[in-house]
Amino acid sequence: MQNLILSLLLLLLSFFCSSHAQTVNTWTGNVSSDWNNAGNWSLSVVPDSTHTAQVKYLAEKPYPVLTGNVQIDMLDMFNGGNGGAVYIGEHELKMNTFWGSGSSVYSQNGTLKCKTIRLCTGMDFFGNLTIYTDNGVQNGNVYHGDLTVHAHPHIPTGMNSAQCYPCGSMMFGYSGTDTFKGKVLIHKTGPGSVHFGIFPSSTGQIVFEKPFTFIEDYQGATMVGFNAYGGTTVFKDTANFILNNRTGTAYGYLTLRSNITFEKPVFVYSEGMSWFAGQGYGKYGNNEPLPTKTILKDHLYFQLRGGDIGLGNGTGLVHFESNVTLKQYGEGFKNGKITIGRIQLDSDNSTFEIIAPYDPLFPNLRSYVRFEPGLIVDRDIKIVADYIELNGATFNKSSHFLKIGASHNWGIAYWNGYNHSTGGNTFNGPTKITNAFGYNWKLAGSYPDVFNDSLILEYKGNVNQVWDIAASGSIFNGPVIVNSTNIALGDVQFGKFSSTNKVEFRNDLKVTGNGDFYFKNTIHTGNLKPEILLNATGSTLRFDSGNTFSKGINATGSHIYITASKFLELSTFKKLTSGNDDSIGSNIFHSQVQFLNSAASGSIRLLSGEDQLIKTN
Amino acid sequence: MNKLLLVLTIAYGLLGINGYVYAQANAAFTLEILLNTDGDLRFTKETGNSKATVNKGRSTQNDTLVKVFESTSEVKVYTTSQKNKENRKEKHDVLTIGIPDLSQVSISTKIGNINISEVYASISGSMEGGKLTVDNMDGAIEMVNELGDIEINNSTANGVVIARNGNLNLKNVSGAMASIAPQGKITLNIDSDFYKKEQKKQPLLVRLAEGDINIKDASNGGTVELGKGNLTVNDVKAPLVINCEQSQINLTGVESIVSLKNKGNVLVRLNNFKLTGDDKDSPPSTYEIENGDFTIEISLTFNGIFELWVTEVNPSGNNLPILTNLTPSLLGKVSVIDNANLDNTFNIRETSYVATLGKGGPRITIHVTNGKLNVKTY
Repeated sequence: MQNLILSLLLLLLSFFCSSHAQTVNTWTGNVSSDWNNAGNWSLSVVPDSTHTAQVKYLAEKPYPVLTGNVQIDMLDMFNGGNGGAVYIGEHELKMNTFWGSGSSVYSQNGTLKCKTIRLCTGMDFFGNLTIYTDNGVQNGNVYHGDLTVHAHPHIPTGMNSAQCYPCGSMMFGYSGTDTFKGKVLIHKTGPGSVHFGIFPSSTGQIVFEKPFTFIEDYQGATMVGFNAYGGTTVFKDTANFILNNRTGTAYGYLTLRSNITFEKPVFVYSEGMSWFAGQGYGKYGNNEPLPTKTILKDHLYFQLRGGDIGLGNGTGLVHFESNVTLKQYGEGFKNGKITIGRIQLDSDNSTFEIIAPYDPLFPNLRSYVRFEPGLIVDRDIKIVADYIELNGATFNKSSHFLKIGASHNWGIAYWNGYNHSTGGNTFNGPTKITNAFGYNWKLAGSYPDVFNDSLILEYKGNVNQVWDIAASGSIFNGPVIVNSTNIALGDVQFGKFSSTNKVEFRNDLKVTGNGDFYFKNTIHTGNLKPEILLNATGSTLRFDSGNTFSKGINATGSHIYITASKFLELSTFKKLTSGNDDSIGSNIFHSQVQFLNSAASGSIRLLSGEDQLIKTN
Repeated sequence: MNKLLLVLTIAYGLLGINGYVYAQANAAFTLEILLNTDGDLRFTKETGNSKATVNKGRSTQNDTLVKVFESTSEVKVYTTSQKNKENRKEKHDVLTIGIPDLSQVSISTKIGNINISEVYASISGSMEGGKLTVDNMDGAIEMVNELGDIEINNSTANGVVIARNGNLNLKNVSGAMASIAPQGKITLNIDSDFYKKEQKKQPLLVRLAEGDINIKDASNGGTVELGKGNLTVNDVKAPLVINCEQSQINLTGVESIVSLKNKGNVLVRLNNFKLTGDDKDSPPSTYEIENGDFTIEISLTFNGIFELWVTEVNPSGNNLPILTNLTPSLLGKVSVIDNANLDNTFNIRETSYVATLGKGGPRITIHVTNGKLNVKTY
């Protein structure tokens, strides 16, 4: 069966490889081990650039040893039987095609240069080796020393697609059984794909025992993949992904599917290409997504100047073991986005952080973090990014979200706006949400959020825009503290779009600071009377329709507007700044209401004449 | 019901009323509407006044229900629910309000249609039901409709519209507008006259998670992203990027470079390309389709280079997945490669042609995985 498969692979590859009449010159070893001795070859000449040098196992004969650089058409260690070997030492063996099976190459910092690795399977490569190649398939090999591969995969004439494989691709571990015992550096410069473990057998495993580095230097559409349809890859030492491709995340991506384990730190640097881990995949012949997991046993370090890090998608999961987290290195999070779709955070006392500090040197760079529906976070979390979307996740420990980006202005119709949160989140630990620069931001844009512990809301900056909190309703079971130091007096709004979904404050509410505050359809049932103290000139406090304050309220602001709201206990409204504050009115005040006016002139005026003061005993 | 009801003129006494102050120079005109009764509402452009005009020609009966408070800088419109009062009307007549340019308008209504037409303003608020229709608006809009549909036509507006339990229909809409219909369907139409307005010469940029998009004129190309739904695009005369997840796509009048990805069926009708300037050095058209059939229709005089490639997983039988009514000699020789895994549980078949049609020309690469590729002439 194996021969059948190999033959099929050969057939496949031969389709894409140019073929021409070849002169076969077979190693005899009749004189010595010297490659350059003509007496050692069947044609009695040293193979030249038109020859296929065939090397196979010969009983009681030496293997060829290079004593200098060599150029041939093909090195064939496949036909004629297994067990052949070539000693290239520190020299360069240049050829169009390398074809090997069950044989060995010995190198001492030597070089193989070949346009195509036609098929290389069951091979042993000893010593440190550098390979220059365009395309090819490697499978079931063991690399005993350090390996450097300069890959320039490209599409053969007649085909033109970056996703064309096997054509135009460089494949390792075709059925997922390569072992790399030394350090590995893959340097890719071509448009074709590089794949590890395309069609692994059920036990197929690719193992990198020493540090692994992958460098993408091609600028254009391209794809790099690990374990597309099953199998396992294990990185026992550090893994370093340097993605210099700036073509765009839609066209350049590196995808980790199936089962990937990183036992040591992972470093991801991207200029503009996507790095996706824990991506679900469909088994061939069956589109049903299968579960897949990327396991991180040490930290994931990232440095983004663009691109996209995706963690978990569909049936794919990224598992951060205890005391393992995301960390930044170098310049950190300058631009791009991190999409957190489905992750598992084993419990510990650390904080899961994504920090993308604003840098005035890069005013146009944007960082983006999105939490997808169904995500459960069982660890303290801190996120600092230009754009943060909270779309249906559950946060079981403390959370701090700090948004620093400006408003988006994309497209003519788009979902969420790459800025706003759909809502539907549950926050079970203490939560702090900061809108650092005062730009537009919607929380709970479509569905109510639920906060089961304390919540601190901070509104900062110098931009007069709108922060919609609980836009489509929310439930605040813990105390809520809101503080605005926005010197531009931007708006903080509760329940802007909640005409049917209520905004329920079931605990204390304290509001201090500057700016305009807006309440609509809010219900306050905490034990303490809500306190709102706005101290800047021009700060406006507006109660739109549908509010109910069961304990009444103490409210102070430059201007106060009250319409269609209910205050069920003693309430005090203090106006600070001159000018008439005209509200429609039509409120209901129970017990007692006090309107205090320290302004030089002007009044609070309830215009409808339909306000009611209900005296209760 | 041991309650004492007092009209809140008492509160004015606490404050000490100093009379109305109207001066607010240079401030935007504001309009606040709080309708606690059902009924329709219409906004029109107010050209004759610097402040909003309310309910021209309204009925006498409406007069008793609708209250209007006016100053030079603002107008407030208000109705009270009359359900607790006998023989009182619970529904207001159609309210028509003229909106001066650059007004700030806030709305809170019950059940009733809202029609906004020819308005240049910032409008925000909510409605419990009815249909919201917006025509020829410029400005900003933030509106939620709890029960009904939202329709926006020929408008340029930033903001967000939410049809929480209804459908959302957009036609010739531009601006950074988030469109949300959690329970309903979103439809976006770009008509052929979309580009006739000034400042709309730029390429399209459309993103929609789920819904239907119908673009009748993609003359300026651009980018269209759709998650699930139907996408129809006509007259592609500049490079167009289409990234879809699971959509049904129909492109006609394609005369330029297209980069398309989709999981689902795709139909493309090509004209001869009219590439100009920099376009001639652009990359080839690429169509990447998975789990769907791809049909491409070309004229008999089409000039171009086709790279047709189908990947099949575990194909049954030996029928070619590339179908065509072209003369066989045009396509040349087909290449069919079978690849099986070690235990022979799957086979991947690669079928490909490379064909130069007519005089040659733009390169068009089509790769279909798990689907049929049909090349037809029209």
